[in-house]
Amino acid sequence: MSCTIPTQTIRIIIVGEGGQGIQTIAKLFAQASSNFGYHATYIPNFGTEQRGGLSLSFITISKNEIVSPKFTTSNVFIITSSRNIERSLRYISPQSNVIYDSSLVNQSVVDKIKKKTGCILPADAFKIATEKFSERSFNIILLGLLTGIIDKELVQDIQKLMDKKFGKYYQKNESLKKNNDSAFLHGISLTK
Amino acid sequence: MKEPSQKKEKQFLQGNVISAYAALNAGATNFFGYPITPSSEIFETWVELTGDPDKPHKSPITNEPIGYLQLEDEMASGFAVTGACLAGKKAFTATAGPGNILMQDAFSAAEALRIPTVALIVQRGGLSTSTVIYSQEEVTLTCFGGNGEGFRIVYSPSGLQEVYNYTIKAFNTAWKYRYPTFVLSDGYQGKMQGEVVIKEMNKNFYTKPSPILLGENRKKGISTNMRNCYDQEEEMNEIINNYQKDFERDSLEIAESETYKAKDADVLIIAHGIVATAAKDAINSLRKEGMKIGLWRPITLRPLDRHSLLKNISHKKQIIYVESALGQMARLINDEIVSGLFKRSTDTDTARNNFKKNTQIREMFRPAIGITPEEIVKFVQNNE
Repeated sequence: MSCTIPTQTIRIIIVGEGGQGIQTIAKLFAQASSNFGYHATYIPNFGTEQRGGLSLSFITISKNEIVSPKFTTSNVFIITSSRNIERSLRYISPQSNVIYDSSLVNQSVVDKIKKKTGCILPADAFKIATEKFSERSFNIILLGLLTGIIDKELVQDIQKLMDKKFGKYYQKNESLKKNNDSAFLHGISLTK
Repeated sequence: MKEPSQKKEKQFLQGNVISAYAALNAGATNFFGYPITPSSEIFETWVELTGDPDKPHKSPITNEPIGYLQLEDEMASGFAVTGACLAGKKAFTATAGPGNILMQDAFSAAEALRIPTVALIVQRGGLSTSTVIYSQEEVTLTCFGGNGEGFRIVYSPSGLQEVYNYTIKAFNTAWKYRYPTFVLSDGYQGKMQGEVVIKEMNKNFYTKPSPILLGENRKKGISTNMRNCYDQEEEMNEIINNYQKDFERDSLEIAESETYKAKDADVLIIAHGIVATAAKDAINSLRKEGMKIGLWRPITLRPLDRHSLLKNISHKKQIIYVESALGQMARLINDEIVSGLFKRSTDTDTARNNFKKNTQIREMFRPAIGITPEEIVKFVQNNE
């Protein structure tokens, strides 16, 4: 990452497909930021499909009151799908830090992103999830990655919220918690 | 980042959840509806708030058990609300888009019979089924959807705190003045999560519902005939004229607006709902560059705050309408300007002449899509 991340207000967009868990991690991150003491907003944007449609989330976290929650230019842009890329590209500017999942985003899309910003970083979240954890931990790795980039002090708040959010699943299968916690911390480690 | 601000009295909640909490704290007791995106969480949250159906929770205001019923469609839901309100219950519904269309039959009846219903409309995209996300394209439908004259109250909240505050207010206004009352939000404000302070309502503002059809008279065997069908043109004409007089009178108390940095502005943005939040950010950026620009925002789209509107548009070099529709709000404003400045008062001759000569009108219409501060800044600057 070579573009500076602002210190007062950070605007984040996560783009994926329905079913990838994009909205889940966006909500967790915004809620944790608010619990920590930042001002925060989160807006989902998706179509009618339960699975497969383009899914975007807009997160703002700030030290100041947030007046308008919708924005055009992102400071951090995470992308995990090549679908409908023209619609997503409009939110990337030369100042945007773009992280793309190298297993899920094809090279032609990466080339288009490179024309818009020089601050671009591949992440192997899906590949790592599949090999080390489980396919479904893929979004949790991204959550860790985002936390590592924005503010590592949010870790405890996010872990508390994950326990709350996934508690009923953890009760049925204890290994899920270990899996998720490890995937989250692994995501953070990718930013070192 | 670091050095977080302290704001612990605030909760981080979704707009639709906030609406349901507001209804509860306003003393609403019954929800009737049919779920539709992006309003469904209002229903879902209300169901959670009612608790065990065999032993439902009680209203914090009236101590009555609270309840809900999902009906077969929005037409039935709308009439269930009007029926419950006739029986003296503070009943409400929530819907969007096609559901809003189907409920107009019931809302029109509520308008004709002065039944104080409350409907929380979370606008989605138009035309027809369209997107499930967002637009500001239900303004005309919500203000004038019936086969009548629009004797309705329509609040357009701007931000999650206002979603809470004006939902509470809608219940009190509806029962105080007896008009169908709407909180016209949108998919962003319904689905977004953000900070809000959930306060208990000041009970001084609470208007107690009383049965319109049932109640004491019923027990005494006295029937109440609420007439909804007339055989003489003159009768209907008289009723409508009387309603109009009531609405004009009540509008003076109901109409609300907000101004933001408008006093010294040469350029005035007019926007409502969530678009007004983007306009405020845009105004802050443009003011830093030295532009004298401000905002006039209708809080009630119906009735409009005519006095404030006419005062704030005078002596402006430019007025810019900004909305996520093709001029649905602008048409309401233009009608008010025309009737206010050009027809009704001879005292406004100077204002009328100045307005016609000196004020440029611009339109930033973006139907069915969100509008950001950056886009407004660009639009404003492109005229420079």
